[in-house]
Amino acid sequence: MRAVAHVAFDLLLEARSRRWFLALGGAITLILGVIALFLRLDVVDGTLAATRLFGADLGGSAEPVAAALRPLFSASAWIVFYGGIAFGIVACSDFGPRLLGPGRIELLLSLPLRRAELLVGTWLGVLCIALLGTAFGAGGLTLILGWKTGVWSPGPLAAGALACVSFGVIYAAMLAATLWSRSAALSAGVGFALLFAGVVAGHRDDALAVFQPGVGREVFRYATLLLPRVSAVCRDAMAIAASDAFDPLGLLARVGAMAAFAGAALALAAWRFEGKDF
Amino acid sequence: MSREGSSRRWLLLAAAVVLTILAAWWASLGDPPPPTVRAVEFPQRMRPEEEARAERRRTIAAPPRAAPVADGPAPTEAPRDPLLRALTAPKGELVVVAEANALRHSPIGERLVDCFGRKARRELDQFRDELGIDPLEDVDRIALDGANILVSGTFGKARWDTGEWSKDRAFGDAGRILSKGDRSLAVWRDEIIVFAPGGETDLEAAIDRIEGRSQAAPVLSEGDSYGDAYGRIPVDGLVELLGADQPALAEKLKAAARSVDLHVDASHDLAFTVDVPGESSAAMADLADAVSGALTLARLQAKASGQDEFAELLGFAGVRRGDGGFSLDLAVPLELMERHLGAICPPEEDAKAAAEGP
Repeated sequence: MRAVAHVAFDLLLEARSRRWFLALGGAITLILGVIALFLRLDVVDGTLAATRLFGADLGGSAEPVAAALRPLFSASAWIVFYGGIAFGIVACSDFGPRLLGPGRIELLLSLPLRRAELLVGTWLGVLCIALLGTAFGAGGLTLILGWKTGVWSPGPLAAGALACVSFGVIYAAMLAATLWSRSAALSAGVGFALLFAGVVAGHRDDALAVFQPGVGREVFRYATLLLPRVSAVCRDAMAIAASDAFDPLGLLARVGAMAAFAGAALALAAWRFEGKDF
Repeated sequence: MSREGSSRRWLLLAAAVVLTILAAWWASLGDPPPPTVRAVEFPQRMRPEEEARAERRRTIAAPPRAAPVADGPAPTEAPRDPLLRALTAPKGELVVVAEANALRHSPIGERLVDCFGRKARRELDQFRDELGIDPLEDVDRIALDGANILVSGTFGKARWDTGEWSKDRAFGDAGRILSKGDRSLAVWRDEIIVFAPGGETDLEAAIDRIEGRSQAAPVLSEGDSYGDAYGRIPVDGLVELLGADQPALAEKLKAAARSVDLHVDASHDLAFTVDVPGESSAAMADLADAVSGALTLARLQAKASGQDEFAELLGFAGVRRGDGGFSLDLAVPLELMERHLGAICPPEEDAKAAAEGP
């Protein structure tokens, strides 16, 4: 476990030293700055001003304002969710190929480390980067929206947390793909393909409605059963952000399934890694 | 690789498989229950029992044709169904035949009679006592031929003389025309009753068609008489119906289709088949694609807007392409109809308890 933590920590140090991450961090800061300075969300200010103008309570409360802002929180959760995953796929696609790079892998394998520990440590390190990036982006957005609207909702943070869970599955598959071909482009391609497949799988119930009964329908049903329900988790994130009703047991099942999918992808990657000569 | 390393690899592979299965199972727990899609039998052609039914109904001989040889006997065709012979829709109007007795004894018919028959029992009994006709048992078919209504069945016990149908005259070989004030109806062989808003001229024309004295060709052939309701819908009428909501589709239909045939089966679910034969196979293929696309779109919209019941209904709908035309299938499952009827008509025991009160 300690060895795994060491690998993850080394990866974090490496990420900090790379300009690419600094640039992406700067981009998030810039977006948050633009939102903070130029977004016109004077719903609450207007309500308060009207109250002051007429000198009495107009019967309004925070509840209708929060209800009016639901689409905003829902949209911000969508942006954080898919934006976070896409950002993660692009930013982290070359960690795997670098890990397996000539010279470096030989050095790592000479250390008292199991190959599986190296793999899990890399995955955990990337997940930590995703968590930090999400905490920064989603946390900043939560603060800005709370400051601008007066309605404090942890929605973007919840969406960010669920985005990290979904990204964990996608990155496990990306890491496994790297062990077949040491290519950052392939790794990113697998990540985006799984993201797209996960969106389709999350809508499998709707999609099944357009299939005629028969072989095609059954093939689609079983193929999508083996995929993480990314878009369904995003819908849950949007519902949480907008304080809409959602099925907590369903979300628990989807998140649990994602953990199991990630475990399966890592086990497959470890199986490949164990049999590979360097 | 060492034996230990090899067994560890197999263990990892097994773990990957087990975790994938676990993930699939776990994810399926969060999925909504799959919609129940089961096969519905649509009326597509005459079934053996319908062929037997058609044969039983050939109770009138066809008129003799012109003899090919001057001295020889006039050849005759096989006997025909008198009701089908009476249907001509001279102005290209709607022609529909409902197998009233089959519909009444179908699962949904029984349920409807249980529901509404309770309320209408007194009126039905009164009607039977006055005229000697039990609408629920004596009527076999009801046909709509443009503005005319034809009812076939067993009317031997009908007591026309006890009513106000006082004026009674014979017409043709086996027809009678009865009048009551300015209203009149025709009875043929105690088997068919004809109601015609056009008056006695139309009634005489109907009997002439039944007895083969008219040159007008029947609209529906025996081969068309399958299902529990069947008929022909004029294309213009359908175009008018579609015109407001789907103008493009209506135009395509008008340009491509000759007529539209309808068949309904109520032996279990309520299954509708609309056959659209046409002239140009390319235009019909386009039309079939347009209808199929509209169905898919409607199903997706219903699903997206949370109209699950409507989406489920559209799940039974489909387009079958054939030679020079296509068929549109629609169905209402029996369970859905029973669910809605259950809300309107509670079971008899509940109704009794509600009527008796606490």
